[in-house]
Amino acid sequence: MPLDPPRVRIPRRGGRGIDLEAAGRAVETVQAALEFFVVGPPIVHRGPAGDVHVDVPLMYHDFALDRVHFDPVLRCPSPKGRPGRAWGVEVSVDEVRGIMERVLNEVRVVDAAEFREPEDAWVVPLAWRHIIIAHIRVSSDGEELIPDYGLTEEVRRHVF
Amino acid sequence: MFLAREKLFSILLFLYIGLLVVDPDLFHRTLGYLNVNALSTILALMLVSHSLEFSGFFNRLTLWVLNVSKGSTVKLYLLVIFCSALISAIIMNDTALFIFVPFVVSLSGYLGDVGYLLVLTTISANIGSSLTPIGNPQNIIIWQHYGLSFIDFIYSMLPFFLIAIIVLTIYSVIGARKLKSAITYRKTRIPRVRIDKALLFTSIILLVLNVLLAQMGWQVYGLIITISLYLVIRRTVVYGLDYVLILIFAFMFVDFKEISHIVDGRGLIPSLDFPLTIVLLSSLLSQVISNVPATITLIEHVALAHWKALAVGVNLGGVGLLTGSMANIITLRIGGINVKVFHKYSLPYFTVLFCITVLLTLGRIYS
Repeated sequence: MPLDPPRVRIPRRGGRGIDLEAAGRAVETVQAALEFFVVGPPIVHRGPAGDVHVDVPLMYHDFALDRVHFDPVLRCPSPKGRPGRAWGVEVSVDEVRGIMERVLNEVRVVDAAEFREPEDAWVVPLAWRHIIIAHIRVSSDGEELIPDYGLTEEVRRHVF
Repeated sequence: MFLAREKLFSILLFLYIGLLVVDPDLFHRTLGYLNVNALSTILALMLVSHSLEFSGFFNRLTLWVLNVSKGSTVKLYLLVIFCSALISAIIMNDTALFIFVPFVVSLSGYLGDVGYLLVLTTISANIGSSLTPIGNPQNIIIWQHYGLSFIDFIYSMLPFFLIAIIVLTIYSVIGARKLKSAITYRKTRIPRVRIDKALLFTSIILLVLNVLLAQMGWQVYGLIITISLYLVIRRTVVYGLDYVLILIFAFMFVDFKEISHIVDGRGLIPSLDFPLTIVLLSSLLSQVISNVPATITLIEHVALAHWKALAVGVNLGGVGLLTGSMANIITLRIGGINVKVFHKYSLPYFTVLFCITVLLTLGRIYS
């Protein structure tokens, strides 16, 4: 019979501990939420040098959780940390949305989480094929999703 | 870049420049056309609505809707419609749509095509917002312009709200039954979004405070208190607001008051002494230029005795064509449905409600 994983409390600054089992709950929370994720309106940024980069928000109900960088040349998501920039490319927002909706069906939740102390939150990666395309933040108890409020504001502004 | 990005603002700015060419005296009247009290209330309530939504509280409500409907398509449709109508009466229709449109889209995995439900949700937010003075910008303008009591406003708009919601209920049930898709309800855990309690309680207090101060004619103080408190509690709320939207409202006031002035000077506005004329003109004008500009254009020509006809007309005019209300754009952009689908479902509802409203106006219900 497999043993239950030990409940480890690691002392942190300020005397609070961290519940490592919460990492598993955080992953489960994102897995349960994944079927309700939808693709938000793509945001096309145009730089002063004529460069274009496209971000696609991942929405959970009324909140944006994270942005996926979209490569306008390869017409697929870019890995997290490498926003795809392009010059002289026409971007069709409808096409980007269509591609991202298909991509979202192939996205899987990585079965591990990292803890970000300043945010007091777990971060669960979303993978498409072999690349991480988004990070979903979950509360330190692993139960509640934490939106990206700044991105949610950006989506609102973009709508008008 | 800025003008290319902010299309609505650019249109209003160029309209202002065009009006300056037609009437150079407009420059001296510009500040006088700004309704500072109404703008203060709109800005304060935008901040409060926005914060209430960002607190995450309404996310729990959408999860409750999904749980309570327990697999029934009709029940789900009705719960979404009633909840979005009631919420938009409290926190402005566009904010209510920012909550419900993504929620409905997220149900597409269960429901298949959600175009019909998206349009019903948009209609219900527009109709629900007609009930209170704080439900939408045109109601705030009417409430402030005529110095109406908050309670009297609700009492007067109740018949229109009830009739519109009854018609919408019948329309929804007929449509929902026709749909073959049924929710394959699975008792799965639907994760919650974190609630920001400090933001929630501060926003509830500020909502009540702003209504009270606006009623006493101290709208600017309400705005100052709102901004100050959010700067202390959660400054990102103040930084994150779309201030271009305020410029849009400011230019709407100036441009459409000037248009009203020009049109009036040439005797082109018919006599607005009869409620039926007001309802017809305001609802049809809203269809063409949107309901906030229609309110600003007509409000100076409608006497206090007929404010209800104006309120009914511009709120009715918010449904129907996409141009009727700015809130409709949210459904199009966030919901990702096309204009044809929007009009396929919204125009029949508008036509029925328009006919009923005309009959009830003739029967002096909205006089």
